[in-house]
Amino acid sequence: MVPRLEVRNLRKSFGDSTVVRDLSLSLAKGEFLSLLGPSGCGKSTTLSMIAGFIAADAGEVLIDGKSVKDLPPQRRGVGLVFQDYAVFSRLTVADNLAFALEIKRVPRRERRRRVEDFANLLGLAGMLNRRGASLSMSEMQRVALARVLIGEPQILLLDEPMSNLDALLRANLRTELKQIQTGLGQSVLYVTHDQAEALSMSDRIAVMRDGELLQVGSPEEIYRRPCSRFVAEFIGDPPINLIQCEVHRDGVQLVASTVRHRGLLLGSGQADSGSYLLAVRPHDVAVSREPVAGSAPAVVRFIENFGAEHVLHIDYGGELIRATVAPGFADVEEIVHVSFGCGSVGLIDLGTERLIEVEPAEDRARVSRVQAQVGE
Amino acid sequence: MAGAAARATHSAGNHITERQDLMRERQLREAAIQEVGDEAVGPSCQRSGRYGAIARTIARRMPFEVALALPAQLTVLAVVLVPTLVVLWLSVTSWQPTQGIPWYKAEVVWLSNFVDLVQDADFVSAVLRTVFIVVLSAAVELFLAIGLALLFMEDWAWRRLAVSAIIIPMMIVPVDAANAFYMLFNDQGPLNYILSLLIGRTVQIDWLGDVHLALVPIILCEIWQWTPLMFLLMLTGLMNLPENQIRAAAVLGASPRRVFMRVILPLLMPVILLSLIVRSIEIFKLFDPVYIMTQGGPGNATETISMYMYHGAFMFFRMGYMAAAALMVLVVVITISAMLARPLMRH
Repeated sequence: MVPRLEVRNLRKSFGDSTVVRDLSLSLAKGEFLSLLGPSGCGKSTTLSMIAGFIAADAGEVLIDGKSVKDLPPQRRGVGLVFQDYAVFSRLTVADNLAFALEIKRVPRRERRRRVEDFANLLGLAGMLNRRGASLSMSEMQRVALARVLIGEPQILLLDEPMSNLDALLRANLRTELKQIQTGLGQSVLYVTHDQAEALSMSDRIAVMRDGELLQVGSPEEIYRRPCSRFVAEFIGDPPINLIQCEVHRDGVQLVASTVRHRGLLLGSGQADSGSYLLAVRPHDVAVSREPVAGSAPAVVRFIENFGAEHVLHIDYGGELIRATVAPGFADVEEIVHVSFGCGSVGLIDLGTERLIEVEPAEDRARVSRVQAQVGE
Repeated sequence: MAGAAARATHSAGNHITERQDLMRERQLREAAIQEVGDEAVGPSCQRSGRYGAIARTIARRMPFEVALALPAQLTVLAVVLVPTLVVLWLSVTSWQPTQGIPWYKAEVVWLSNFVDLVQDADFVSAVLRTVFIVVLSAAVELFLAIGLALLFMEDWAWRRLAVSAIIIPMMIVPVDAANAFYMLFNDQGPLNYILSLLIGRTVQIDWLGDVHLALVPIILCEIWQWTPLMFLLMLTGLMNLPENQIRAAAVLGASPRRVFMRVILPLLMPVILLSLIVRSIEIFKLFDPVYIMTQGGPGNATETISMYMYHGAFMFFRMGYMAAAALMVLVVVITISAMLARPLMRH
């Protein structure tokens, strides 16, 4: 099937700095794809090139398999929601919504009906006669979204549409936006620097850095199997723990030693013996009050309270690592016992910063045997 | 100062004397500051003698911000309020300087000046003519300025140079500009010559001598000289528009024309109204080109309200009558401005 949107080897420089380098992407019909990356990584520039505001230095943008190189923004059939929403401040909400329909010469009655439909869909029914300039940020966001959706664009481009809203509103709108998108079957390219937004809404996430695409995959893949140190650190909240370790290969098995652990069995993976960074999500750090097989004692230095869960900052041989626990599990300066489960860690090559996947050990019996040896 | 002097003359032995000097000076200064209070800590409070005492008294009695505003306020009072009051007085008299009586002893005729003015065909037609010139020139200037400004929205080669070239007329002394137009539109002038070349037949239009044509060079001169100002206002207005609203309209499929009519123009309205007010008031006072080119003639075909008052006041010396005319014009100008300003306030 021809993808709704395809971007091939897109490249853009401003003066000496290359903002987007050889970016290739595709967006299937009805798919929600997030372009995720820190500020200044070229996401918005990419979006502007797709919308047609900036011409690319090289590469192609194809919509439904056809190059749109020579089409102005008016004729590309994309809908764009701007970061500042760009609601027409001098027009009423109703006129904002009807803008695209007026252009398409939709009859007046039909126009009014659809404006009302979309106003209801986005909860704007009570404010159709207010002027754009008098709206609050969240109202503007809804107007901007409705204004674009009403024109039934083939592709919806969203440029950090939540960054001007407060946290509570953002959480509500995430689900709402996802529901609307699924309901309408819209193809969405969503630009954001907020990994929570990307993880919660996307079918796929494309992680960008310095104008380059690092990894494309489902939220699960990106979270579970980040391809590099950057992606691993960028995704996940609280952030991933990176622990210096020495890896020793024992047959197919990899065994690691850190400052506090010796002979830590990781599983099988494509790594030689040597120095690596051990990548462990805070959720995968097992913490217990009593010593267990393969655990090492450590002191809790600091506790972040997130209500439903607490994040312990544990002194792990001079470095602080994070572990997620249930509230009230431990107090500051208390000694807890830390262990990392097999199959929930990754190794990061210190030279290439690539992530080496580690498969859980197949030989369960052997695992327990080795772990038993480790527990002193 | 005293410290520096002391330091300049001091030798190895009188180190202590110098320090005492400095201390005494500081004490004196602090005392002075305390005496004056918090508001005035300027150099005046260090001044000694009679003027110093006066300055201190003023500083004590007068809030600081009032003291700052006072010179400007007094100037305005002298050049605006006093003449206005004199005009108010003169407008109810029949004073003429040639009568040989001082203006404050003039004969009071109450409102008869105003009654006469309303029936004065010359006055009424001068006002109407001026309003016509204002509306026509301001409209043409606005139209041209918006068009030009739109051309300058996008970057192109020589853009900066072109902006500089466009605003040159604005910097020319109005009398010189009027003189240039006087020469251009002379019946033996270059304009007729060019027209002759184009048509292939000798053209000798007497632009400035024809009752029906004489306003043309005057209005053109005004438009030529002041479109640049309007252009600059429009250009800054356009440059400051929220760019994303324009982009949003484009992605929604709007043609450039629709983007302009539905988005740009409404956003630009405050700037347009403001510049119309400024220009209308300016054009209402139109004098230099008329004075240079036609003196209000032929007949009174180009007599603007300023020209009319100039004639009345400085050729026929009817000061009282012209004071009344000036007041009526003032009322007209204020009315027009208020009409334009009301929608501006809404924005």
